[in-house]
Amino acid sequence: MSRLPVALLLMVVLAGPVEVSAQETVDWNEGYFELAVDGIPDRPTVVALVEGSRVLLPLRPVVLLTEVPVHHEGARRILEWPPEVWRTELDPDARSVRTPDGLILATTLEWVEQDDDLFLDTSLLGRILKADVRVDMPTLTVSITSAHPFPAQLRTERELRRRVERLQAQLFDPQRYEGVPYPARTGGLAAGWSISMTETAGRRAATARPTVGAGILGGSLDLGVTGYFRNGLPAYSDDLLARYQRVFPESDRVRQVSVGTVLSGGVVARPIVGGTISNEPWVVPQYFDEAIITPAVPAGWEYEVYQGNRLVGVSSADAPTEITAPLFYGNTPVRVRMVGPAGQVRTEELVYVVPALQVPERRTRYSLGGGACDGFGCDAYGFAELGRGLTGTLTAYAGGDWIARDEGDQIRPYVRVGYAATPSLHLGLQARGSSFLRADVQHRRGRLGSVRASYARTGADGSVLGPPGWVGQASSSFFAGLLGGRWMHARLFLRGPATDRLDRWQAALATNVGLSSFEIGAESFVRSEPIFTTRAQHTLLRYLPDVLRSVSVGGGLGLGSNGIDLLEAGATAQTMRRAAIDARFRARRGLDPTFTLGVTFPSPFGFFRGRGSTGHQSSYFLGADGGLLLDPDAGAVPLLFQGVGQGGVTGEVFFDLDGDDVRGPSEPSAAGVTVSVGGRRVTTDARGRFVAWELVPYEGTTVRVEERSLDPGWSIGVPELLVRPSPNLLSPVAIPLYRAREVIGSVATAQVRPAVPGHGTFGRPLAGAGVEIVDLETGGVEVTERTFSDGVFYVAQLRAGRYRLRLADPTARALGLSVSPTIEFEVPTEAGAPIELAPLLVSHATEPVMNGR
Amino acid sequence: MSARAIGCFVVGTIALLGRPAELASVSVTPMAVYIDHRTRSGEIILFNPGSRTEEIRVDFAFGYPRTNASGQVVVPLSDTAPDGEPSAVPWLSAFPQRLRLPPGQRQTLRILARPPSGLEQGEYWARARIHAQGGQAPVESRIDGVGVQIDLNTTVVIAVNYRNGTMTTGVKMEEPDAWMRGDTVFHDVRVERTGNAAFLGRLLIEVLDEEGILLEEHEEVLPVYRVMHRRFITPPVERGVPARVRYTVDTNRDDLPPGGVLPAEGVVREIAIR
Repeated sequence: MSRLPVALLLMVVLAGPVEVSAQETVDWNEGYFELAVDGIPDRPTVVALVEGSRVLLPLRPVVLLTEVPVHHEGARRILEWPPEVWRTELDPDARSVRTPDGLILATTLEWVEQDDDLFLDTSLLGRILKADVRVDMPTLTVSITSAHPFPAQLRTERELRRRVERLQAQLFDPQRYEGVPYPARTGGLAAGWSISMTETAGRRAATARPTVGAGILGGSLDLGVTGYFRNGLPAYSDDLLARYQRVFPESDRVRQVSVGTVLSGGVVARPIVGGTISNEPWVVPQYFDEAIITPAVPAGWEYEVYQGNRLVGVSSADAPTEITAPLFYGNTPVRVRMVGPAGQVRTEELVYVVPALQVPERRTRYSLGGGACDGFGCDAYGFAELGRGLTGTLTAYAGGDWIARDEGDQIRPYVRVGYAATPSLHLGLQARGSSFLRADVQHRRGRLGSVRASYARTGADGSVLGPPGWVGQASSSFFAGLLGGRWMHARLFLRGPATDRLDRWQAALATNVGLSSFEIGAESFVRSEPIFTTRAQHTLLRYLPDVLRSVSVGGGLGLGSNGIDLLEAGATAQTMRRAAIDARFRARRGLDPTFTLGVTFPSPFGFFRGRGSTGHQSSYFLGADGGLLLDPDAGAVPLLFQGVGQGGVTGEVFFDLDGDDVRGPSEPSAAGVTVSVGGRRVTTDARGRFVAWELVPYEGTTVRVEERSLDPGWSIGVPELLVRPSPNLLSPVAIPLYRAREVIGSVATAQVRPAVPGHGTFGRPLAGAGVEIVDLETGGVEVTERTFSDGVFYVAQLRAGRYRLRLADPTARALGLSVSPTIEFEVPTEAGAPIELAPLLVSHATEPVMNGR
Repeated sequence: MSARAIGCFVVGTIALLGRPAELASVSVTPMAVYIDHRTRSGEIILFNPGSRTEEIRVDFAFGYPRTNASGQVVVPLSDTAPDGEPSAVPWLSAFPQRLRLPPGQRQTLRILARPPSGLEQGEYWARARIHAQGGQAPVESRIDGVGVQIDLNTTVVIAVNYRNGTMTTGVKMEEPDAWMRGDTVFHDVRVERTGNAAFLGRLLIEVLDEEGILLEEHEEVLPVYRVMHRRFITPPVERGVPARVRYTVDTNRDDLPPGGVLPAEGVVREIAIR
């Protein structure tokens, strides 16, 4: 509402003289003024002292409105906002004001104490607040404008921002795929092939591995074998794959069942011919659990919790609430923004670390299985383990494995424990008697960097894990402000055959400058002198021929006690068509220099690789692999890589002319439409079909048409489809497109009965009026919109059909209407210009009070 | 409306022609859209950096940069194009054409071309006007004790060029003129476009001394849709005596989106200063 009507409605009272003890010479009157501060919606009425053109304003309502913090030191009042920016001291005894600009001594005409409040001249008040304070006598309005926002302005902005951010946060659902059904489908066949040939020192060998996978009852039956050839003749076969695996993604009791040639679970994975059963997730899920965020916040402050740019929750000073945030496996950065009473802002970055081992609180996980050993020197192997999230931060697994060998059976218990000591500090421990011990610690502190360290000791009977001995590793990333504000990455590697011996170590420090990376380090191998190395690499993305995507060049130098010990250089070029050429040169003291050239490139038949090297031992390698998918819906689809065990989505996009969601014989296909499948973009062919492969089966994925690839004359009925692909076959979807038109209309008053006689207007557009478009066929509200400031509303896409336009209930009520005016209209099935409706006229209404401008 | 009517609302309009769009209450990128006859659509991104929701409305007008009698660049806009001008206005549309943009939010806006069949090969021109209203904080000012509150209705104007078929462009430069008055060099440069598409280039002015040593360099964008007759001055040089000036008109523009500038051969003229 403009100020003019406000001013007209304001009651102005100029009362009689007021008794003022200290200033008997001035006859102060009382005046009622509207107090307006830009950016603060409240506009209270205040009582001021008036004498002629001089107005003294009360300090307390101004301070209350602007929320400038005030505290008392004796009789003095201290106004401070934000701290360190502006501070004013008011001393009533000396009638003085001390501001950062200096000391002001007020006169009795500028400073009146009355009714427990202090009345100040507008100019003096302006200097106190470092603001422009002006009084408009015709409208009886006091306006205060400051270059520095007042706390109340900041709070208003904050609340507005939070409203917007809350709306955005509602779009985020960490458990969006829960409840998406997984149909147990049968059909489809995926085949993969891989061949390779190598020759080293005159000895030639070749391998060929065909694999085939079928989708059966929602599971995957996979078969494969590797054949080895020497000098062109079959030598032997190995690596037999014959396995049926079924995953139940929505079950808590049994999630995975595998029989055949499988890998065991437990603390060490062994190949066995047998079976396993488990309720462990098929892949580590994205979502872990909810966590209560409890930052250390000063008293009286409020705080907001963000994940990325999403506002998760707000705890205000007067209504503190517990804020829970969804945590994810891996690292979840959380930002806590604390806001002080005077608008001060302090931000704290937290990183929650959740390793894959961690189990949500009060959840239990198990896995067990067994069978004949497939190699690794044992006859049979069995395992069983049970894990539980004891608290939100402590997970413990306990189990044991049984191993049968010629020399006798052995049962070995083991434990695995994960503990989040703080949100950003995680400790892990795994131990199996004398076989092995592993301990690790992870610590992340946002911009302060991260530290990760681990220690592993392997005993003589843990040889399946590697040679006996110990390995210690540490790595850290930290922000080095002194070095031009760069991230530095440090790592240390230590290895020894026994606890008190060290036979290899390596230390390095690396950083990036733009697309260049630099590393310095030192390393020592078994019985060799330490050498100090420097390496540098630069990636070029610009100034390249059109066929190249990037070129990386680099080199390294190693210095030992005898001078240069190591010299290496190399370059890698990647083309726009995913081919790569890699050339390396390496010379080390005491060894012949080697030069290696490698090429990889895709083709419609598969992916090809070749590598040859010259030097002290010349060799070459040639290999290729690819695949083929046979699907009842999509037919034969060549695959770039082996695709056995993977899943996919196929579908058709068509113009649904009759709007029945089913493709009829006369309904054309939509070619050239971009469809996003699990974030991967594919384009429909001339038949409107698309295929997306290489999806993780059983896991939920989103299929969405990118509206920007569509003519706006067509709309999508369902914004996105959620599916769980099956292994070795394509999950079919159909996406109809509906004819749509833009609709433009307006709402206006046909006749206004004004609140103030004589101030009515006719045909005035109604801003901020809510309108609804009702589908006459279903009776449902298809669209709700609000008119712009000129009374016009706009609907970007409305499906073909018959509709009724009416006022939304709140608007009709605000206008005092029991029955809304309506307009019926039709959106035809043909393309065309926007449909322009006649104005929706509101008759005999009271002057509305809308929130539009 | 009485000037004394303190507190009244005055609606002002700012047309930001050729000015950075960030000055407006809604930022618009890019500042020019080039639509190909194969894709028939282009996109711009609107961003509301303010703290209030903006009402956005988009429409189209015809216009292109010209020079007025004093040699300054102007972009006169009209709802309909004069006869003979290659106007794309009748068959361009924006989608969505109206929207509310909350603070801190971005919105992609598509510009769609639906040219008539049989459209002749060539480039067709229009200007998209993005009107923003509502979000800009009212500007309060006082003039002679009179308070005026102004709501800003900002309009950002961007170029829309539709290219149908094969495009060619270039420029011809008539003999330029340069003369000294005091320590200031005055310039008079007239260029005319060739080919069937706008020449989106720049003008580089190099002030040289008698030995050919560069004393001062000045650069400005030079879009030549038809003819541009620029008259301007360059700042006094700090050292040396200006004797010659070299004008280079080429297409070295990095302020336009990729694909916008049609490559063309540059033109260089060097003359003595009168």
